[in-house]
Amino acid sequence: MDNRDSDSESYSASSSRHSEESSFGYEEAEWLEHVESDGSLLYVESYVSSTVREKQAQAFKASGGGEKKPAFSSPTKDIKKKNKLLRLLQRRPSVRVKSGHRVGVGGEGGPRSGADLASAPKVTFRDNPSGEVRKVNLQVSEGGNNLGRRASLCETVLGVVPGRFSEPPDSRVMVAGLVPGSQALRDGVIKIGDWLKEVDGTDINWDNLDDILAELQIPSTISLSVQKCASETLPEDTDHDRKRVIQTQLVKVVTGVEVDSRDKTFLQELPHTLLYLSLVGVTEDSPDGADIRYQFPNWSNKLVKVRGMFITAAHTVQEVTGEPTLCSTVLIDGEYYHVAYVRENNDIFLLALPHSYVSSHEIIALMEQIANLIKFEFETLTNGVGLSHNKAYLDHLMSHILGSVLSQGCRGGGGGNSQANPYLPLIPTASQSLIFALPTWLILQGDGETKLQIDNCLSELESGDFGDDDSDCEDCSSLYNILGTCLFYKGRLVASHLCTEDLQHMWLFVQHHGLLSLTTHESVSQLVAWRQVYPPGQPQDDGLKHYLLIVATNHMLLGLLLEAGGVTDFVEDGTGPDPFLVDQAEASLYQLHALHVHTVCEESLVNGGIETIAADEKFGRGTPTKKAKEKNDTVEGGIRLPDVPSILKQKSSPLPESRLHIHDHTGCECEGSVGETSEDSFTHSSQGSSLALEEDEAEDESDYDWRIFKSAESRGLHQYDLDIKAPTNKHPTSPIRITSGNERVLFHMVQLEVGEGVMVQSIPSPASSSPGGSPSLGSQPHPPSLQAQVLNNFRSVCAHIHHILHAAVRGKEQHGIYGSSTALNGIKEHGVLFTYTPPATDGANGSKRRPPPLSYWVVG
Amino acid sequence: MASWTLVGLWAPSGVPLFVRHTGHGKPPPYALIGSLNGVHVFGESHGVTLCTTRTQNASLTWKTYHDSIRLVLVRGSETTGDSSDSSLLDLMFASLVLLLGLDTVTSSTNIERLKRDIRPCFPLLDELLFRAVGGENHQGFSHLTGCAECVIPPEHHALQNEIEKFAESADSTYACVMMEGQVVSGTRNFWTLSHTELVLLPLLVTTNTFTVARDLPIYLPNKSPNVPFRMLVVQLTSHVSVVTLCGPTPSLADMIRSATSFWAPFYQVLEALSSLLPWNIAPALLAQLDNSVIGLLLVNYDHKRCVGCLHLSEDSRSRSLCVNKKSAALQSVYRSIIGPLLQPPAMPPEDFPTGLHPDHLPLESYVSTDSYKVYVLQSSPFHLLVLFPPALPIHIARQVSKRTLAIFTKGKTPRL
Repeated sequence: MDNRDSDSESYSASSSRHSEESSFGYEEAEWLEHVESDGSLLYVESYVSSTVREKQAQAFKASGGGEKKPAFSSPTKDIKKKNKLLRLLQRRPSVRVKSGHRVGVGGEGGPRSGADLASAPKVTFRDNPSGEVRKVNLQVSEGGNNLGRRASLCETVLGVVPGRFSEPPDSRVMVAGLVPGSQALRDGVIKIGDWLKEVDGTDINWDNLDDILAELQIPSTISLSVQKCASETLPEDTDHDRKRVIQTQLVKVVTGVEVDSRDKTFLQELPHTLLYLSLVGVTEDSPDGADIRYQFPNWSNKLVKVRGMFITAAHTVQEVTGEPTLCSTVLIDGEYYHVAYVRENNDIFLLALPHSYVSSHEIIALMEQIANLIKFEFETLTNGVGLSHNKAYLDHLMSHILGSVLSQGCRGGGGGNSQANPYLPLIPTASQSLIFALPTWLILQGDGETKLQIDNCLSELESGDFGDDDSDCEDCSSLYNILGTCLFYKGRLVASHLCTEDLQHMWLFVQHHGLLSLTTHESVSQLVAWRQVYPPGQPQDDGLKHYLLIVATNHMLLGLLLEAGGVTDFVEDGTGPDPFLVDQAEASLYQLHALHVHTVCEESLVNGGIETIAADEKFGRGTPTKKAKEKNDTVEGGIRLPDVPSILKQKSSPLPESRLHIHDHTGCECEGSVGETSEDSFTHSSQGSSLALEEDEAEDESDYDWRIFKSAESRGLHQYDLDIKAPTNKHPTSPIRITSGNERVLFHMVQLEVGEGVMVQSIPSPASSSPGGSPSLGSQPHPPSLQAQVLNNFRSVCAHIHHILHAAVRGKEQHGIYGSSTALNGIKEHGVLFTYTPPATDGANGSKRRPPPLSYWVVG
Repeated sequence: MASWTLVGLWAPSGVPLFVRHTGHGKPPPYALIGSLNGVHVFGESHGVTLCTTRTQNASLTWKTYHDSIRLVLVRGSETTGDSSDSSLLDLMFASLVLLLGLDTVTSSTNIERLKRDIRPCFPLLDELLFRAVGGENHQGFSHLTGCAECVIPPEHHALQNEIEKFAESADSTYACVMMEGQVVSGTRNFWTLSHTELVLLPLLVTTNTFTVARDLPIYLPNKSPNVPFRMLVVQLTSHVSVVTLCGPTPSLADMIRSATSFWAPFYQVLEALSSLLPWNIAPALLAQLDNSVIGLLLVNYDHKRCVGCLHLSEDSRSRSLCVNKKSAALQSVYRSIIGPLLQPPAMPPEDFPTGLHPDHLPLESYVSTDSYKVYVLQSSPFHLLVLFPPALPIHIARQVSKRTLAIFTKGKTPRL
């Protein structure tokens, strides 16, 4: 079924609902009663179920489950029908609430065929396998249930919307819905809630579902085995508060509602702490701990006990070197810990974490982020962490931050720790190094049209220009002056009208409050956040106040930075968000949805900037799949990339299965807009074989200065992708910044201060590895985690390179008594070649020749 | 130029033993040194050992040896260098042991006396500091690589045989021929000395080369920290001297006599060695090097040897870099790449892993700056750093580096 199209329809539906609502006035806004006394607000409302797909299932349920409907002749009608239902649902929130026991968990319905990302509705059917097992014969034919190209196989082939049973580890497939017009629905034998056990005698589960279905001969008759599970539902909250906002688990985590207390024993074994220490007013006879103004977590450990050491060290070292102290490393019981400092006046803000989780550079960066965020929200550290009434708020924030850091697990092995995530488990948005305190850009593909549309939309919002439908918007503009806006899609920045510094703060806020990861992993119905903030560098004395407004719908998140006072009217302290303004912001989001911006974003996200791969053409060289190599030995290492598309095509034609295992080492390249054309260009996207290495003389030269090469693998490359890739490769090399291969790794480049250098960052797109089960997987010589390893290495080297480049720039401005040496100043480029030597594989496939080592460059 | 300060303290009482400082500015006052020590002591009493603290441009390292000597290093920052700081401190402490013996250093009861005793170590400590800072006329890489600096002589085997014979005649197992602080040839046993000893012994010989012959009691920090050897240094030609580590016999006078008579037939050979200066590499090899190479550092971790060559292509077009700059460049690159990225194969892994996956080995790297390019190759057990002029394209640099490595490593016997 066509997720995206129907999504967009529903957005327009909701926006129309919204305009209806707004005509009634704003008092009805659900979030109003959640505004806190100081005016801040964080309100999240989830969809009843997180995907349209589930809604559909629900809709059918609501209308009587297996009720037979006339088959729709065309999918468009189908969608219309759906949307009618949806609209119905959306207009009457009470309906939603009543059916609220079907609260979904996590998971958005990604359009990828990868079943691992598909929605996982939490269904409340009791796990009762005692029901009778029925055999169902289904006639399947090609395109029988044509629901658009993004529908999952299960839907197209079987006409069954797959779902999962309640617990996530449970991999059984549940019939979550039936596709209208499908035979499954017409027969009426398969009921929603049934357990789909076998297809043609093969046991199926959530993981192998797609693969098994892919192998079916079409058209044919297949036999399904379904088992009825007891159809009683869990006892429903009949006395459900009507006003209760529907929130998924993740939302609860983000907003801090109903936080379950976890087992803390692991934590106490793992010393880490965040302290704000102030010696003001502390005398000799003060009770122990009087100097601790803020502490998180709340139990004491060795690090807390020796806090005096850190205070003294921070002050002394500053005296010795003339610079603020950044970080210390201490050894406790054979384990290294890093302690980062931020000093404000005579108060010290400390963060201590074990070395196995963060490196010293990372902790410095993390500390800076935390301090900046607190300053952004509270103006000064003292106002924030120094005041006790903020403690609950900060505790929550810190549990997010530290939780996400610690959940990344032990870097130095001993990985058992990583499961015991001590804090609230926020799913990390994009695993990125802490060093890079900047949002990741999503590079939109396609022509600049979408970009233009977004920009226009944001500009309209900023200028308060809403065209005809808002005649009374003067109220708003007189209250607030919008300084800038930015738009995130699934945690990636799409557009920004903020200056870099403000953007960074905005990002810190949404990132560390978990809003980004929330919008990444599930779509929210409505999210409104409001806070008074203190952007640094803005004068605070002349009555100007700044506010941050965040509005999100579905996967899009819009952030606004507002200014009040000054030329506009004075705003009282503790004012909540202006409903009108929120409404306008939401309207902009709906407008963006209506413009199908999210579709473009999603495509860019999934395809990883295929368009820009054109730049590869000149530089890289990729050798196609190992598999392909075995098949065709004449194709050897030294193939130029321009040939690659055709080669890939060649390969794909003899292997017309739905999936090719392309083991591709394509050079990817980021080049800065430095504009410097230097001769010292070097391109080497090495494919592992030594043969390729020998042919270096034949390397192309390029005119670009900054680049990154990285090879990565792609699995589950579709011919579809190849087709896209091939034509784009014909384009002349465009001097755009990012190139990325079809390996589903999007490279990200951030240009910091001018002339400083370019940092690169990689974002694995969420579905980089297709679910296993493809027959060729067994012959994959590399462990599946290779890509993760590559990325991990990549990230650490990036951090290293960044560090060196950064230090070089810093070195130019000498300060302090102990200046840095200058030998590395003027550094321009730095690269590292990695060679991956696969561990010797033996056993069953011992006859296979040892896979050649693969090499890749990381260059900055 | 960056400033570095080394502070030595008597750990049990916190009394400062010595302060060595290089670079501009003054060393921190005693009060601050006291609190630097106090911080560490406080943590220690709570079971927390303070190891390093860094600021934007500087870094402090604390290290306590045998619960008696605490060294604090304050350095102007390079980019990275936790590990090199720590190993530098190890070298510092080892140089105390080298001259005083472990017992004297660790179990002294009279602090004032210890202060006086340490004084003779200052030249060695200063030399190490100077080298770390990259001071003028203090080139050298041994303190970084942990390997003895060598020259590659043309007639390697002839010298090798002679030094073995000479050591035998002098009742010594450890002997070597040195030229300007670089080892020309050593006995087989000489190369069994530890990394630290191989770094410090040549340094010690170079730090006071005013005499024709010397007899110096030394302790080997790893091999025999408490039983002294006599280090007998006899100058053979203006640049070349022979170093033997002996027991109670022979006397210095005997040694001078025997050395003179023994080495007299080889005077021509030894004198010819000085023609290697300042390249440190035999002319035959030198001729094979590419013109674009303006400096190189080759390290063999298995043999604990390294050779640095900074005077290449001086006559040709690229006069942009003086020797000091070249040396500083190679040192910086070594410090920032080898260690954090490329693990020296002979060294144990550092306490500060970088989070790289063990299966992914970084093998090559380069750094390019406005004034130079450095290409780094790792080919176990070798590390090769090649310095190039900035204009050279990096892929050519790569080819040249590989060829250069082959010049030194291929052939019947490795040259280093």
